[in-house]
Amino acid sequence: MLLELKHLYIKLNDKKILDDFSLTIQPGEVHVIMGPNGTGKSTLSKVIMNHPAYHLEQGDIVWNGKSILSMSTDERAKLGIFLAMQDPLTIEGVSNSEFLRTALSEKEGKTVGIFEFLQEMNQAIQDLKMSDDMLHRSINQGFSGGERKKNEILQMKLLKPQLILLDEIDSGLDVDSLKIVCENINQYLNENPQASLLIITHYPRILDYIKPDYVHIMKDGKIQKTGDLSLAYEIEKTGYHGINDVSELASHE
Amino acid sequence: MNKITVERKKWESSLDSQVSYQDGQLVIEKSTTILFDCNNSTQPLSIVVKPNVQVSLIFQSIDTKQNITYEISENSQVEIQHLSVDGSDQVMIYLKGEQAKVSYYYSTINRKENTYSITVEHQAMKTESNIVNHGVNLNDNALRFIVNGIIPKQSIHSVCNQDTKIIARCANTSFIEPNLLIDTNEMEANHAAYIGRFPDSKVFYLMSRGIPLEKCYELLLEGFLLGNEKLEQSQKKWFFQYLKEQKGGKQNE
Repeated sequence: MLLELKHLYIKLNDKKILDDFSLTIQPGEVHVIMGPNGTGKSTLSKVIMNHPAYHLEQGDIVWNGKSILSMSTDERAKLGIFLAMQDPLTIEGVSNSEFLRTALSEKEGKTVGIFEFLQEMNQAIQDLKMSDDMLHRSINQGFSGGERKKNEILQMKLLKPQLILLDEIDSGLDVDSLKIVCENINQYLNENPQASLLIITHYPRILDYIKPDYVHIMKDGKIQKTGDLSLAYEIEKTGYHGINDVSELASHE
Repeated sequence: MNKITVERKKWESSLDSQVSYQDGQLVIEKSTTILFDCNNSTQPLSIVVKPNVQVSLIFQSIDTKQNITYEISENSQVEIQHLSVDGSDQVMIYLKGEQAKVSYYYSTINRKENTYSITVEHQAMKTESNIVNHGVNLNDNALRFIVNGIIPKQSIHSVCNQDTKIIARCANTSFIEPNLLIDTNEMEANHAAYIGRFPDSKVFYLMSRGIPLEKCYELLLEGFLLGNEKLEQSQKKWFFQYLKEQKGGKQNE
């Protein structure tokens, strides 16, 4: 098993955000978590990456059979976990190239040569149909919503993770940009068949491009129902009302 | 490039014919660039910019307590990049003629008790000042910024912008005193002041790409202090060595 989330509990301001949340992801699997606003979906992705605002009260996060609870955010990233964020931040003064070359060098454990780095970057920029000058601009500064999301996928392509967490990557993307982003994710999954994907989304639109193995419906801090792609389309028709059947797919809970 | 070196009270200069220097006063007649290298200096300096010129001034200063006065004539634009280590300078800028403009980017690394003050007096209409002060306080000493904008009645249609930030890496004993003294209705003024740490969200974003905490601070500090693309690599390198020397200063967790 690549990732096991075991009975996670999180409270924030006396409100339960994650309530006995469990999920297992195997290598090469594509999972989707859908659910109404405020149900803990984004919190889950941040908890996996050890965001300082969220402290796990109970439970364990296991990566390839070992608990990673004591690991810092950067150590978890170096294991091969990548979080594409819902609202990527602007960081003034730090250029994309400096940031990514530093990240890549940390991952490789040695300073990555500028020629090798630029070759990879230029290819990824072309694949994502981004502007060449983004390399020299500050991280996400002056980027449109779509460019920010593409920048997340560009980072994914460079850092080559084993597990990709996509937190509402489809929000703020127009139809063409969504297609480009999804094509790049699919290409990555094809080239890295052991890589796994956890998509967090409100809408099944992204699932027209990326086909999931499992769709989970999350409500009140836990998975309420698990199914296949048809469950996502059912939710689109009926909404989240009435979702309270605990899944029988025990291996994923 | 024109260069002036000040070591304590000793001045050395290498200037072309566009600049004249006498008794501590520089008179700039034509568009030019001047590099000031100041070490341990308390020498006052007066800079007079004649009409219709564009001037770029770069200061590299360590342990200075200088009074620096600028008089900028009509239709002249002056851009100043001031990189300071432990500076307690007092800067006075007079915008004396119509459409005189000054952009002042002050970046300081603070290791002692220091007070830096800058005052811009708009003495003519349609003048413009953009004052950006960024400081990093590496230990428990106080860094004080006093930033004044004076816009009397006659200075209609002027623009006065102040943006001051201090990043405190240890105990926060610093303060910012922003003052806008405005005596006319027809002008534009903005000010922003921030003292604190780098936001956790930015640190998390960088760490989520596998960059260790201390390296994240290096990137953020470099971007905060040296984000200006107009600085040359040698100037950035000169300044950044003082941050790297001070490994003891850490943001409070």
